[in-house]
Amino acid sequence: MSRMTARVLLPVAFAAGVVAIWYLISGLLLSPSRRFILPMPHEIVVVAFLDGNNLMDLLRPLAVSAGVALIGLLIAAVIGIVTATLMSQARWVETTLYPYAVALQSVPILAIVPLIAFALGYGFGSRILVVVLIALFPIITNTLFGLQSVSPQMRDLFKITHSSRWTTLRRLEFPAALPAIFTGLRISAGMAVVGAIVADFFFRRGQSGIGLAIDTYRNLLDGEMLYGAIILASALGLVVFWLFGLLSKLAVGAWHQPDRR
Amino acid sequence: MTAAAVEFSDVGVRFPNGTTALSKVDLTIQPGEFVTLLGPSGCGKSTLLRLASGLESATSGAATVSTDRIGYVFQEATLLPWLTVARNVALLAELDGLPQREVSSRVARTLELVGLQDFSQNRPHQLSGGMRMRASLARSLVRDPELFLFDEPFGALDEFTRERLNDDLRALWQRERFTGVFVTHSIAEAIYMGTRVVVMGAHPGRIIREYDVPFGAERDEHTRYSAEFAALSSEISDVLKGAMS
Repeated sequence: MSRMTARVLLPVAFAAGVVAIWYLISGLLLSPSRRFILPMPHEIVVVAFLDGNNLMDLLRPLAVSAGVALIGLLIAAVIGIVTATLMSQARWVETTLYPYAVALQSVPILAIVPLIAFALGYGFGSRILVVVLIALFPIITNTLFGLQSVSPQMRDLFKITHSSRWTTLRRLEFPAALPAIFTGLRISAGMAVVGAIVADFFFRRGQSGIGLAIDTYRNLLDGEMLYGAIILASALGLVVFWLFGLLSKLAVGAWHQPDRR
Repeated sequence: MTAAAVEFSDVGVRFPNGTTALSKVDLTIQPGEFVTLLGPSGCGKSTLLRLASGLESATSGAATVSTDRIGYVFQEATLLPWLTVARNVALLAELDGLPQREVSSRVARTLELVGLQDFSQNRPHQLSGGMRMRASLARSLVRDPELFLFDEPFGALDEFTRERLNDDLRALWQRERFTGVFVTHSIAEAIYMGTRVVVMGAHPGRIIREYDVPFGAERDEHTRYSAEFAALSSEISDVLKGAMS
């Protein structure tokens, strides 16, 4: 077996194994009255994905959550990149802000939910704030790392030509930091999806997101739709992660090969 | 007599951490000379170059450099990996604020001078080590430097590539008539490249002796194997050993 076929075959075989065990548990271990805990895989597909109305009931909140994640991610990207740039330009900014950036990452987001509710209420704004808080840190650290990783000799080259700080930033530091920025964005994108779904649970005003849908189907003991919602939410995370990988490849793939480093 | 290209008198450099990188350096380099700086690591060769380029300033004495048109080639090519070879070569000319038209014509000419005209659209990672170093040379050459500083530029290359680049750089120097300062820790390279060899010692970094190289402009591999070359090599070698013990 060649390595390529192994790389495809083994995961597929694993998935098949998992589905087989799933069927065993669902069909043999669970009585029909308790089957909502783990519905048969094909029933999930039939009910949640093949029924047009049901599918729309899942896709609509999914789109809402995706929107919240995306808006929050964009805001976090702007704030994070600007902050990291300021940190790279002035040591005192870094010294002042970096401890709080680290602290931000260790804030248990669930613990400050009531606080956010006080400030922004139970609507969209709060959901977005959760996403921003959760997605900010990786962008700051990765951007800062990228900006500071420029070799001293390249900096010397710009100094010899008496280039301004702005020119050095624009033509040297920023392009050099792009791969690291994309790494940060990719990590944050995954976390933004998590943040959006978590926020759905708590901030329920306005259009409901997939998190709220998950909670609702749980209350209704609607196993098929619950699993459908969970599968779609996971798929959203995967798609976002893949999308940012692709974006990164398009932007810096021509010159930056992560394996080659 | 015209002004010296570089004039150091009683120059000392002391870093904030207390180490003395250079002490009591007197060195005058006339326009058109090609001076090689030879010495063990820690003798302040690179600091001397940084001083000449204005990247470092003297903490004592006076260091005067007559021009701001400086080329600087490092041990590594340090090309910007996201730019093509042509754009890398254009970079310094653009930073100098030259009009786009002038930049393009200079880039074309410079790439031809270093033999990279067919690789202008490649990215650095697609080039060999020797070609990357040529691109790095071209990048500084495009400024039409009056003073060209080389910090062990070919140290990381294999012997064969290194000798070729040595010859090419000598030809370039004869053609473009810049003043060259070339740091190396190879005695043979110092003699082969230089019109004058400045031997340096460490702790503190200082100049020990200077040698005028007795060979003319025409040099080839026979020069390297001549008795005169060998004699000068062994003399310099003795001086270096004496300074280290």
